[in-house]
Amino acid sequence: MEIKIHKLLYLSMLIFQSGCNSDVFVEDFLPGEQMDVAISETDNTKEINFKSDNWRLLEIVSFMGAPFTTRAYTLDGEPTSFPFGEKEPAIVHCLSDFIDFRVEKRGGNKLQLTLNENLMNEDVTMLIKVGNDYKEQQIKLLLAPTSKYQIDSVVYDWDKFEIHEGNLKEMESIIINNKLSAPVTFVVYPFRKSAREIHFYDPTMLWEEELFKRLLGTTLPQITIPDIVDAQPVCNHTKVFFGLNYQRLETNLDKELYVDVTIDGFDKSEISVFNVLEKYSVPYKVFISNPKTDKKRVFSGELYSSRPVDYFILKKVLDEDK
Amino acid sequence: MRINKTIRKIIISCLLLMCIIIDVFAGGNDTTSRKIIHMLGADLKPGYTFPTHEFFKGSNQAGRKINTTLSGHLKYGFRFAPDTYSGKLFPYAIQGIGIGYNTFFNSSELGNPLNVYIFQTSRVASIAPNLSFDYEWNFGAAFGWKKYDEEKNPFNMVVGSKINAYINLGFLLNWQMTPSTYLRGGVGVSHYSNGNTSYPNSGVNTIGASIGVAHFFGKNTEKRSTNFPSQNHALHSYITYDLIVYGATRKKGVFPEDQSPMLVPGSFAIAGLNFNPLYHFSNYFRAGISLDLQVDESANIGKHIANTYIPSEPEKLRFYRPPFREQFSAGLSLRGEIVMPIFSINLGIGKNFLCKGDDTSSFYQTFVLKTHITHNIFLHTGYQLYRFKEPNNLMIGLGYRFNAK
Repeated sequence: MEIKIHKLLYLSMLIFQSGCNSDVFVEDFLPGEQMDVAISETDNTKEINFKSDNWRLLEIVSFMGAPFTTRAYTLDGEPTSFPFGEKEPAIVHCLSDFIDFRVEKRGGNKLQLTLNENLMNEDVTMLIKVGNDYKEQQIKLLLAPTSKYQIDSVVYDWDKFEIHEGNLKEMESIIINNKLSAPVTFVVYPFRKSAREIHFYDPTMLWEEELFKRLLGTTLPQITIPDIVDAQPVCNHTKVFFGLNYQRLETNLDKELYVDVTIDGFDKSEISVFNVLEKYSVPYKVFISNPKTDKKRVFSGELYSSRPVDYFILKKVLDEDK
Repeated sequence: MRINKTIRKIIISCLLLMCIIIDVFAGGNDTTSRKIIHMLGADLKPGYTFPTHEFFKGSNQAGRKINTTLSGHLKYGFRFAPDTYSGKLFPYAIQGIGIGYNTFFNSSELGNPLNVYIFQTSRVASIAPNLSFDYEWNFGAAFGWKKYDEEKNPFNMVVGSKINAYINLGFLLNWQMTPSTYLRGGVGVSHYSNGNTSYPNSGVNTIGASIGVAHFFGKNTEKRSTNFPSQNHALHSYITYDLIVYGATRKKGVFPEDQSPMLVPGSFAIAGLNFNPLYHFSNYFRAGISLDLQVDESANIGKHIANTYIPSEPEKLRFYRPPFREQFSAGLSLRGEIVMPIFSINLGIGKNFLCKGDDTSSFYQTFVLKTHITHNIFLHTGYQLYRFKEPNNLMIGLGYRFNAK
């Protein structure tokens, strides 16, 4: 009888075991509603431990307002397609001009997040969607801004430096109709509105100040531009912000300088004030690098400078009927 | 499907085991030369089927009410000889096995189930020298139901499995026509269901009349007054301790928020342990308190749905396994047990005191048939209800009685 009882007990255990409805149960890979993770430059790698391995990377969504590409690789570095299969290890590299971020699923239960670069001037929110056939869960990432690029050097191509002479720029024009018999005197200030104008031109890109502010910081760095001394380019101490397309620089000309212009009686005259400009153009290259990431970039283009050096006043008597 | 087969095997195994036990007792080791008196019987039972579902009210393929039933039964039973211990203790008790063929007059949608069951009958009271008022219970399985099928039997939202448990309780007038032949007639109620092992499981309930004859073979002598020595129960009463281990499977429905109820695929396992001290008030009745421990794999799973979006197909439902704290329950129940030869019927009502979650925080009721294999060991076949109405689970297992005398 004892043997029979044992057999019955074994049978009961077998029945209980076979009764387990394990097919409908799944492991909760990431308990909770949503996980928030903050990553900064000083703490640029975070590892999320999952409770189980029955999940896959579904999607990576960014709210940074700038496009980025996602490249997926196997652990061996071979390109693969995204999203991955369940339990499949792989790496996703999110890359743009301003973001460099890696999501690595190296093991079944771990997700490693690495922030290399966030050049946006604000926190960037990203959502990593993970899940399986039954559950989808989001990991909300807050990527803090990282260090900006610095200007390493500015190189001008002096061989292609060109000076353009004989340029005039009309500063103002006035018509005076003297109905009196006696002459009248009119005062003009030829340098009152004068400024040196600097223009960066890059035919390969649409110049956006925001781009440079993201790369170099909201306070743009300055670079030295050449001046002309004795018909030769010389780099003194004239500096401009690199990143602003058009800039106006103050000159050392006397803005209070005035000139009397006399209009005879019963004359109608047009007085035009011109600045005589000293213009040049020179190709440039600006080398920048990020000391944290050692990434390097080069910007190249043409620098145009237009500096007033003298004035010219033209008085033209007009036909009274006009 | 695999689970249903398992359930079927369990039910059949229980029946076979009971039959073996009956056989063992029938040919037992009582030292008396002639130990039992054999009986053969036949019954005819016309009945009324309760319209508990629209299907019975006419929402069926035939388009007519299903409210009548008829069954024919053949039985073999035995009574312990009057000079045996059991015969002295239970002089009117007859137990055995029976088969019954049923018709609900709609065989295409319900089938014509064949009941295979064990029964026990005995006297409640003597009315006249040859007339007595008896009871009889049947417990077994009914084979051959036409179950619900989405394509072939779509209206039958009542029966979810080909095999269902069969329970019957009847009260009869028993007239001794000759020294060996009895005419028995009365009324009884029957219940068919599968113990939530598959859905649908509305159950089939009938009430009906019964008329039949029973014939005893050999010398059929009844001792109208037992000469079993009377006992002073104050002196002879004692306490036994029943330790029961049981298991079962069950189906489970869940009610996702803002969604229609869904039946979870597969069957869930249940395991339980009862420790039940019972005070023997008499040779026929004992009662006590039972500590009831149960682990239900499906308990509270409705709060652990894994799907972010509830699927339209139940097959895609997935769950996180609830913590053990939510699957486990411990309760205390009051138990009363009616003692008969071989069998005893144990009824209980209790409340879980250690539980977490709506599925286990409840009053419960138990109905148990104990079939004694040896002096100490018994087969435990039971059913648990919640709140007097909600089918919960079967309880099929083994028990061991400590301090049995």
